[in-house]
Amino acid sequence: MISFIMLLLSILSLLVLLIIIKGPSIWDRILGYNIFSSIMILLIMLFSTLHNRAYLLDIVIVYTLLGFISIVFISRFVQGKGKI
Amino acid sequence: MSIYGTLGNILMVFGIVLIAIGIIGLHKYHDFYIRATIASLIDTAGFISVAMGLLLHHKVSFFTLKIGIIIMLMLLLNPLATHIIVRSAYLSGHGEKKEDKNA
Repeated sequence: MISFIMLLLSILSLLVLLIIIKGPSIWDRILGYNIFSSIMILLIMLFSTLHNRAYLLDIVIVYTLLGFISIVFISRFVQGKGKI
Repeated sequence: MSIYGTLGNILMVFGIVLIAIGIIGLHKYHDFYIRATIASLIDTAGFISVAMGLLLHHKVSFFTLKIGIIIMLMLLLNPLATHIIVRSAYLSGHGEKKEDKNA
């Protein structure tokens, strides 16, 4: 059952990639990157449950924090047109 | 599969349905600010329900504690990230061209 849900989630992540590619402006792309990283977080959590690997969840915590910090600085960078 | 397992599965499928509806909505609307609303909905609602469903799959152990920490983090960080994106998009004058003509 969990692997079926992982299959669905990976198909959905492909659709989010379409938004990142198609998005007219850079802000849509940053938004798509935000959604894509949260779906990847879900996939890692499901994978770690499927194979009972608890140490993968530490990676997910670090990835969540890094994803958030990267989004903060990307949007500041783009808003400042190059100057942080 | 114990009662908690099936309950977890139902919650996870519900989360997947939420994310799918959100992504269909993203493809449908091309205005940035509507997309930002949908994006924050997908992130918080869809993510939390799938993670809660995952939480129910295990008896209380070290595993569920970590998943709980991740849920708390995502509950805090995701709305904040979407707000930061929309704020900097608005400040850099993203969707204002149409209004300037009418004003």
